[in-house]
Amino acid sequence: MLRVLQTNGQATVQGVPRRGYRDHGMPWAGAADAVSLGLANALVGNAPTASALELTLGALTLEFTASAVIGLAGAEADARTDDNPVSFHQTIQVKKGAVLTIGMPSVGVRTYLSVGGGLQVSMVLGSASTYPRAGLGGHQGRTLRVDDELAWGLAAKAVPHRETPAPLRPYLSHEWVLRALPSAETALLAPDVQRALFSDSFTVTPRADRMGIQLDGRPMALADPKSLKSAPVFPGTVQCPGDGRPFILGIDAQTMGGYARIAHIARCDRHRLAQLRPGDRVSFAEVSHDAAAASLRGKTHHLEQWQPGISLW
Amino acid sequence: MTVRKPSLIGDDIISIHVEDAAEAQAVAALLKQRLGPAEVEVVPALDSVAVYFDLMTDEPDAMLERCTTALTQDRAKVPIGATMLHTIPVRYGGKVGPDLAAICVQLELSEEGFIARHTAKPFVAEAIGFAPGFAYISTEGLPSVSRLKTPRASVPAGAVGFAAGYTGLYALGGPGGWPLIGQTDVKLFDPDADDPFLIRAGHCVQFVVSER
Repeated sequence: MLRVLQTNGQATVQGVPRRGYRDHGMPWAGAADAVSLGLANALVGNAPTASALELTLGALTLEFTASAVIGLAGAEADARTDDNPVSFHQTIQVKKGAVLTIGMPSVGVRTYLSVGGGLQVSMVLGSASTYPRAGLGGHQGRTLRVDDELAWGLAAKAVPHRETPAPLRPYLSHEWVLRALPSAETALLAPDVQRALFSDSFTVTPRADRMGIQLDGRPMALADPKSLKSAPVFPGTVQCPGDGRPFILGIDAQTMGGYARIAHIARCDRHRLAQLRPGDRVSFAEVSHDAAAASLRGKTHHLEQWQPGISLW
Repeated sequence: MTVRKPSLIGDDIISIHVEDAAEAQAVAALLKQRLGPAEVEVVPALDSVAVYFDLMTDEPDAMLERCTTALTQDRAKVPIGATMLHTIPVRYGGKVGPDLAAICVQLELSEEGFIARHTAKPFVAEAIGFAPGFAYISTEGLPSVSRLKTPRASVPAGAVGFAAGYTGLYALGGPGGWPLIGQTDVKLFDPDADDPFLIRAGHCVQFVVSER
């Protein structure tokens, strides 16, 4: 078991999204950074979507009551087992009784802690991922608390020591260019506003979580403001709310929304949304459909050489 | 019935405009049947239907083509199960319906009068969304009231809300911004059931007063 000794109240068990129920109002949930989840799992011999811990701005201390193999990927922070520094992106052996401490990252937001064998939690509608708003999945449908205990499955017999090749480690910074495409209501923006949307630099506000990320910058507004009927939305949809601040929907995004949909983040870049931090600068680069598909396939195939079956969502 | 050409609204999302919620459900059912369950999600809304597809395995142009072809099929022939009727017993007012009294004052109705209209006939669940299993049931015969200024942090599963011309059924507990008129003990969400959500878009709901 691992037992939570300290937490900032924002850690959840996440794995693959809960697919197939958006027409029932069920958000996908799942790891916000699919790539980092896959990389963490690759270090410990797990399948790419095995359940892991998703930390938000770090700050987690765990005690291992049994020995384990673990891996760390995503936003990097100081990590120690019993005061011995351990590194991200390599297989870590943890002894029975060891205490793992993960600090706060200075760049990026979400850290993934994998355990060989995968965390054992109940499945709900085909996924073990936590959707805290509805109290579903993961560990009792909520973020972890002090004294929570989690078990893991049987690890592969002998987990070889691995280190994620440097070119595969996602590059995190405070400046982001996200590939995006026009969406349903982009044409309702005035031409100069459309141009600005795909060239301006925006700033991530403090309102950023798994549901979405609010951006500050030149106000976005429809040329002819009108009331729109609620329409289906997805992780990656960029909305234009009444206050003019674009809102990028995240992995826990609700299924319907009444705001104009002015852009859509290309699937190849959606995993990066998980690492946008308040104060970071963001711009949207418009790409063609062919380019978006090519980028997705290229990135996926590249990662698949290292972690077969890895998927971006 | 004008159904516009499917169009891409992202690298992996297709949107189709329709007239209304009823048509959205018919189109969604048809697309689900034609496109297969595996790598797509078809989501009907109030005047459009969206199709999410797997860009790793499907080309956008091919998916647009498949949607266009599917839409040429005669929709009337597709069984959509829209005639499902659920009888939902509701405990109205009191502790479980704390906003009923205020709503009645606003609408100038007695509680009995409100309940009589609410249970008068079946209503259609026009859409599901905003929260898992949250059903928007179009409630004719009762005027609109506005949502709460401050949403409640926690509303129980089975709570019955009323706002903006709709009755909202909370399948799962969670935050809720709708005035509450009552509570049903019917299990609206059962993760272990074959069909985990009881009410789908297009189903009808007949509210009845619950035996206390």
